[in-house]
Amino acid sequence: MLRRFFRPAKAPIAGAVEPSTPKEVKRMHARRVVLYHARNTLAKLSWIFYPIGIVWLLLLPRDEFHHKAAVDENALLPGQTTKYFSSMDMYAVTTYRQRVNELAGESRNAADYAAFIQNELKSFDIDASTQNFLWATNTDTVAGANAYGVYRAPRGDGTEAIVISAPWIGGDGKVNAEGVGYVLAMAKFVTKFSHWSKDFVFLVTQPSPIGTRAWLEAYHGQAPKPDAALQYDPLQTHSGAIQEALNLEFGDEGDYAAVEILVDGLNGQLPNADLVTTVVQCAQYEGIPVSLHQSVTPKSFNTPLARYLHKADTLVEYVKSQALGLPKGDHALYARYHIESITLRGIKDLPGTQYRVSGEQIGRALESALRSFNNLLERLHHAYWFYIMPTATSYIPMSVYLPPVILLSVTLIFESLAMWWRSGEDTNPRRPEKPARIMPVGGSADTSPPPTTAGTTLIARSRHLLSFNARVRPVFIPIVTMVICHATGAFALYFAPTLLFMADYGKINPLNMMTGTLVVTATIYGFMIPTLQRLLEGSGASTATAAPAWQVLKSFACLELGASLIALAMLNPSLSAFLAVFAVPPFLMARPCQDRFAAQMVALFVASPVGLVGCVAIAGGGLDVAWATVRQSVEGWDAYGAWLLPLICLVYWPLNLAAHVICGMED
Amino acid sequence: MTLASGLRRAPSPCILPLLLFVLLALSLSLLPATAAAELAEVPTAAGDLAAPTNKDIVTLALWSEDARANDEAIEGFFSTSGHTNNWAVLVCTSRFWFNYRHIANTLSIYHTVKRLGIPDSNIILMLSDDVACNARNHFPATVYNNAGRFLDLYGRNIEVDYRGYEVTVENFIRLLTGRHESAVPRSKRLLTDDRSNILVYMTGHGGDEFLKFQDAEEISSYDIADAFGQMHEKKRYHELFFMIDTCQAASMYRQIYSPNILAAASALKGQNSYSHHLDPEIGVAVIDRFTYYNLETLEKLKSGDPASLAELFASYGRYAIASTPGIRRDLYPRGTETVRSERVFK
Repeated sequence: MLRRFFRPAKAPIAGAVEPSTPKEVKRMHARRVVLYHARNTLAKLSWIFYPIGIVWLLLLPRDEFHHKAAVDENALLPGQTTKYFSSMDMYAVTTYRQRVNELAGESRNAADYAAFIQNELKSFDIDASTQNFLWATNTDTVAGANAYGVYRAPRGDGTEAIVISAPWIGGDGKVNAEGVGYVLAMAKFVTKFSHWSKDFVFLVTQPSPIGTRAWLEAYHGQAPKPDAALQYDPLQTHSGAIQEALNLEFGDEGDYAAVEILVDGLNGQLPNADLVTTVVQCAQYEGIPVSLHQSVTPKSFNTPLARYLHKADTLVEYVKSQALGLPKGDHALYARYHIESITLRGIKDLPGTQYRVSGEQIGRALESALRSFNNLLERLHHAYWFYIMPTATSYIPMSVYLPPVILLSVTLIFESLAMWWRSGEDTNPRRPEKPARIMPVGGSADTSPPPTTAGTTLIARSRHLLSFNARVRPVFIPIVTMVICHATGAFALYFAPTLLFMADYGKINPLNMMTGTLVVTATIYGFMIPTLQRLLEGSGASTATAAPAWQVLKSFACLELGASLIALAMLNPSLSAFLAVFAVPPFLMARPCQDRFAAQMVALFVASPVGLVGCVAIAGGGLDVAWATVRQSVEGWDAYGAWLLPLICLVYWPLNLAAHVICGMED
Repeated sequence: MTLASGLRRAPSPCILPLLLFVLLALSLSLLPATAAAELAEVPTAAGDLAAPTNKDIVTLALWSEDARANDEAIEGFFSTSGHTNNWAVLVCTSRFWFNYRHIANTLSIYHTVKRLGIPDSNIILMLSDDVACNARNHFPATVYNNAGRFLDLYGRNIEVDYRGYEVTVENFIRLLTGRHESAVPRSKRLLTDDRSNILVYMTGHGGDEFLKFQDAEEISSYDIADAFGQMHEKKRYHELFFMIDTCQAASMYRQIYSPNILAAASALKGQNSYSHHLDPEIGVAVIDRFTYYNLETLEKLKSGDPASLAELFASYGRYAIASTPGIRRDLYPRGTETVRSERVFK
């Protein structure tokens, strides 16, 4: 079209009218050409986003992507107050630790523990009471009890509270004697001062974290349904809205090498970064090494590669824990009530260091953190809630890690579009031709419009326009397939707790059962539905100009998986990245191609939930770990509402089945 | 080229200003003979002279040979600043616990002016007043400006006129301009006249040409300039000393246009102002640098002290204060050397 500008002006023929191409036609043609090129490029090259995403993810451990931790809320002022926690208070901690150990040895009854805590809290003039609850698990009914006390700030207004909690049994299965000791000692300590603006709630739960769930639900005014597995009493004393929660797990002996922070909560929800930074800085001002995922970042590294590998290691650990989204500490359950929470766990031994942390240091760090939270007037809202922590003192915010996670799944969206376009045309798309003029037929020498060299004012339509090549897209079979696959997934979700129960009671090897079920289902789907489809097609139920159904099904499946993973990237980027890494190549490759059938099936199997569990087993340490993961995800859904299992059952596995079906369909 | 040929070549309009200049020089050289006579007539009693105009400054610059006449002129002229009463308007525009130091700043200046003699009836104190009895205060009902905690500024005897949510931009401007509703009590009004020297002290968080009021609104430099302009028109001040301790404070006095206003600010545009030190027992910073170094000088003043404002300004150390203080003198013809600090704060 530009050539027209550069053509020398022709002398007009006397009396003749030169019909010029109307600009609407030019615009239409331009649009068609652009669209053609765009579609072509997108369809052929959209796979490039996946490797770009992978490479970008591999770059994330580098220091350039990390922001150094800084407190964004100016009111916090971490570490600026004098610390009054003294050796007398530490003496209280150790005394309580011994008494807790003794009590744990004497009795296994949660009610005894709760009564002890309540008595001790009452002796400090704190408003203390207990809460009993019953939890029906697969194997037995557990009777638990929580003990808690509310210290009302003498000059405060009682509208807000900070929770300091400790489970009776820690995450490692041992009695959390020192943690409970700290809770009781802090309860005694805070009563000495009047500079608190918020109330304190001191909470000891047994068993955890179900006890915390019972307490939180009762605190926020919920009551258990009559047929629920968890039945709990309402609370007798209340304070105000809980702002922050600190959970302490310090084992049964004093003497630590470092303090570990556990940050991520249920379903990968994170507390405000300011909370984490404040706690870490208060600990560091006391000289306590802070570890994240059992490793303390060294101050210097031998080589840049060592630095990269260390940070990559921490990131992989972080991804593993956030992807599962199961509660690893009591703090995990506070997130859904928009309460910022964190767990502090004492680590006894750390390889490569002889430094010992004393109990006073921990006590002072805790007091310092509490004074900082005391300064707050509003909820924490300055720092971000979406981040990844490569070390205890640096962050990768969402603006930096989200692009690669989304790029992994973007390929699927474009693949879906490309399949939709392809299914709409019956020939390979060709470059649109410029609309040609209709040449005048013959010449009648006598009459009116003199013949022109440029043709008539009529323009013929190009031959390869879409409107002449359109095909009917069959949506019946794809939709039915999707519905059946999702129904299977819903069925699996509904029966998962029952299957777990059967596995527990029948002493069937659960892994065998699960694997058998899923593999059989996949095979049935891989062969049954395509067979059904061929029967249908042969029956003349479809028209001759219909597009192959597999393209439409692939379009739907890729779209749903891509959109789900992108939406998931916001809430739980680790899970989204993990699933995308495995699922995208098989989905891109899935087509009814006989010679690559075996390879496709293997790839799809690896990407299926069973295959992923297998990968976890291979990478992470055996079938026990794999089974424990599966079991925990079912229990997590049952007890706490962790949505890993529903996501896999309702979205991921059905689409995986649909991809199996695609491989078997007719071309 | 000679002057004459140059003059001939110059176009005719240029010659006229040249002639006028020559005339001016001649007339000025003739004036000293008359200046001494004029000045000798100036009444030396505390009185009703208007502020000296620029013409007078210029005439004074050309002294007479008679030393006695000069002495009399100086004595008679500078010793009377012409004010009969002092007022102070002390505003703290911040609230919340972590702005403890702004309350401490304001109360320190309050303490100083009270000590030097301005009575409570002549002081308007505007504070959010949420710090002394704040639950977070380790020493309840006190405000200290020093980590040594030698002096409790909140003490037994302070009178806060505007407290809490009454400290608003509207109230501040109404106070300055005197446009109150009839129900406002006298203790909340600035009852000044044209013989009043006023100290206006403001502290808080500020930016380029604005000051944050109570975390809810802002006052701009134009608002302050116009308020002072109205005060001048309504003859509500004789001289005004505007002192401001915030970030980028110098931008706040840029727009002032009324005469007889002297302004001192803690930092120039683009600079932050810093706090001085932290009291760990309280957990927050307790005083700002600019106010701290002002107090170093002011707290040593006694009644009748001849130290001048220029000395106060000279005592500002750029490195100690960590920001460059700004002084605006162009609307203050008397010159700071001649003003006793005590006259402003007394």
